[in-house]
Amino acid sequence: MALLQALVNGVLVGGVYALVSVGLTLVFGVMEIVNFAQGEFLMLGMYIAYLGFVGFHLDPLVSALLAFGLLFGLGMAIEAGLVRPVLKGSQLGHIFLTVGLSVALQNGALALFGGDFRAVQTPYQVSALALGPVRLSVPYLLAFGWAGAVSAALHLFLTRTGFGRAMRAVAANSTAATLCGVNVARVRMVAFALGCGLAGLAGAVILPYAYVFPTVGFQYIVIMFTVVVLGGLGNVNGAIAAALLVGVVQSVSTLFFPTVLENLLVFTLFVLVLSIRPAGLLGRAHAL
Amino acid sequence: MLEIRELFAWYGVIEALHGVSLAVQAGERVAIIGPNRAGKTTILRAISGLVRRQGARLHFDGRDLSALAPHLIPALGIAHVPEGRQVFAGMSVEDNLLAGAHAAPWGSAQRRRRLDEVFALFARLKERRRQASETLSGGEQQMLAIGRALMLGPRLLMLDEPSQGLAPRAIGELYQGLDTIAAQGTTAILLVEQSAARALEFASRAYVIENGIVALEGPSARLARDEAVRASYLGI
Repeated sequence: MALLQALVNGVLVGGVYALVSVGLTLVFGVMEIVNFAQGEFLMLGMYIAYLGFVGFHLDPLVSALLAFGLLFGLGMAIEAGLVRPVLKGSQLGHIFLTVGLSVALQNGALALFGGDFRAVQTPYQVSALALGPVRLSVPYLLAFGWAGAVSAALHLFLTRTGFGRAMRAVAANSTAATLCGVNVARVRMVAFALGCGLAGLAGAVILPYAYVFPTVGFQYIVIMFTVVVLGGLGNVNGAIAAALLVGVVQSVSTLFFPTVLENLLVFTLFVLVLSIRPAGLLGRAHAL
Repeated sequence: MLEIRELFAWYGVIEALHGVSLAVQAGERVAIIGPNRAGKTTILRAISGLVRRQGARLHFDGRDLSALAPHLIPALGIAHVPEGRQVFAGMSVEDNLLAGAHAAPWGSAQRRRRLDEVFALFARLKERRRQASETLSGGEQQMLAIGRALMLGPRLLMLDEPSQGLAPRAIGELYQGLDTIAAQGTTAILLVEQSAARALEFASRAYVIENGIVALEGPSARLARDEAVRASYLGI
């Protein structure tokens, strides 16, 4: 019974990991840059939801849309102003830029909000649904619902719309995409902005059960990279599968190990999977 | 339709084309032959804007191509099938084809009709429409690359070494398809080929490129009788 409960918890948490990670893998797939500032966009999304809650009594699950929109806009500006100029250069340039961005955003948040841990009090914060013998935490369930909706929307966007198809074409082969008349620079800008927007949305969605502080992104970036590499860099479906796996492994491992060691099994699995399949569970995707 | 005069192109600081002049009329079949690294591929890349280039004239239907960003060129009706096929791996055959119509100013009904035309031309693609493109054979991938280019409804179809790496039988099927396209008369074909015999047989006119310049040009039949061409490219 404890195992069933752990599995359910793991799937719920894993869904949120998917939401947090999917933007990172999307940006890598389309642009071949690793955005080390992805955790900070999550942090900004949390602060936006926090301010929405404190200032306007907006539920974080509603201000998630606001966080998505604002960070999408910020992402467009950052791509056009900062990322595009270094995109043609070496990978070292990409790393310096995104790590620098991460430091700047952390310290900007520190200057604006101070270093305090902040949280919101929602009415459903500690409530749970009983489903037979299994208890479902409501904030996790709601976050999982958002994760499912976003994954489905992203899937439809990438497979059913002309722009989504163009984005996959750019990920697969940007020169051939240009020859099909795809404006590669614009696709990259939208992909980067989507990555930022999704991280911001994820930040707002986890706020009902997580503290926000300027360096909170660091807590999540490790999980993000684990999930993205485990699933296969640039592979959206792979990231979702890996996120669920990581959530379940973490959760189940707490049955046997103390909670502080919840990542022990995750990283053991990580090393094992990569030693057998160096390209990740589903492999490097050609087209997201 | 396509007019090029004194075209220069560069890879970094290295000049690859040293003043190439070339023209393609509507519906015409033109071949570009010549040795490896002579600049054949570069001519196509220069037309599509994939390399830095400058010319006294680089016009398509009176529009100056050098003033356009590369992604705006296909919409004029210029489709480029790149060397090595370069299909979109990880995407289905049908998604590859639909991506080819990205620049076309069409509604979904017209796009469907175009898709059916491509399937009529290459029936094999229809059988495999749901299959991931990288799992196709080389010949099928070349058909897909050409089909993707045709989705644009181009008036100029540029092909870069379409027979490269294909089995003789696949090459035969491929040229049958190209004959059908050319016979419709609405699409001119500019063909870069390593196999000069094939190219001269297919095209009505040809250019011989050597060291980044046009060494010879004329009707294919005349070039096929030319002593120098026969010795260098036809192996006779």
